[in-house]
Amino acid sequence: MSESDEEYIAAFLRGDELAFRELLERYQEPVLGLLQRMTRDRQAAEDLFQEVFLKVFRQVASLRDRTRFRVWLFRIAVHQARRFFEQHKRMADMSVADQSIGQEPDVVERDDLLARVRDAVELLPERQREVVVLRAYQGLSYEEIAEALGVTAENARANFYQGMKKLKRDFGPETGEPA
Amino acid sequence: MTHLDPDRDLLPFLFDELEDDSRARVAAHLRECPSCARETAALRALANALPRALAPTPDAMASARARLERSLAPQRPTPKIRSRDRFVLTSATLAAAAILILLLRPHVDLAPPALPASLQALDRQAISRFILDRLPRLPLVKERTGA
Repeated sequence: MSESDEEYIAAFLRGDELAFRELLERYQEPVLGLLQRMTRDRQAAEDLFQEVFLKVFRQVASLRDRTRFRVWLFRIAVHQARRFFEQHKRMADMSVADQSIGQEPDVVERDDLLARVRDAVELLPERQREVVVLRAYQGLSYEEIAEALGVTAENARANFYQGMKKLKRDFGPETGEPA
Repeated sequence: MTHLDPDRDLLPFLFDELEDDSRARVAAHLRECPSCARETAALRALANALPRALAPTPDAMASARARLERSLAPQRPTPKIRSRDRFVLTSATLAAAAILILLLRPHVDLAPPALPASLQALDRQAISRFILDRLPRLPLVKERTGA
């Protein structure tokens, strides 16, 4: 049976490096997924992925409530992605206008519905995109999202609904078809 | 028939955010209203597609993980010797050096140096081994990370 986040953190702080690896295994995919969707740039997401986990490695000892590790981790990831996004905002805006965000999509992937859903998420306004990723992909509650993003739970909920409705307008007929 | 509101009814219904009575009301309406049922089906399909669409590809995951491993390597704590052990180690090294000097001294003063045959045969590695064999085995203490 797997340990809780706080047990892994305690073990890591006692010097058990494997415990850090367990945390990494648990959260690497959600964090990279979040960073990719938020930065809309695979290379940048990988850079930030390193930054996030190096920060965790160095700063987890300062986390007071270890039961909130997941939210703390996503808050770090969101913060890193926002910094990147601000630094590259102009470039990103131009990319949006060109419909050529991030790296060139794989030819095979381009025909895939999932790839188009992914692209549509990346075209959502920043706050809606953050909330959709955290709620629909990471499964965070509105309260957790509020804590991670520094907004109210109601704001998180409203942005989630707005984002979902916009995605549905773009993909409703296709995703509505039976698989 | 009044259709369901996406914000108040459909999305909260799909993401399991409704109280029991509201949930029952929405479910009953969906059984009666093909339009709302279609709307809900489209939203559900989208919600189901999102986790798969947003997950990183395995190659991206592997690449990111490999880069992180390289970054973490210099972060890992190196074994640290406690000050008491450092004192013992220093003392032992000095003692070993003193023994070596005593062994070599009669010959160092001579010109040209002429070591006894047994010591002449010692090369640098053998001398190092000689010293190291006389050092006490010291326990290495792992550093507490992040403490």
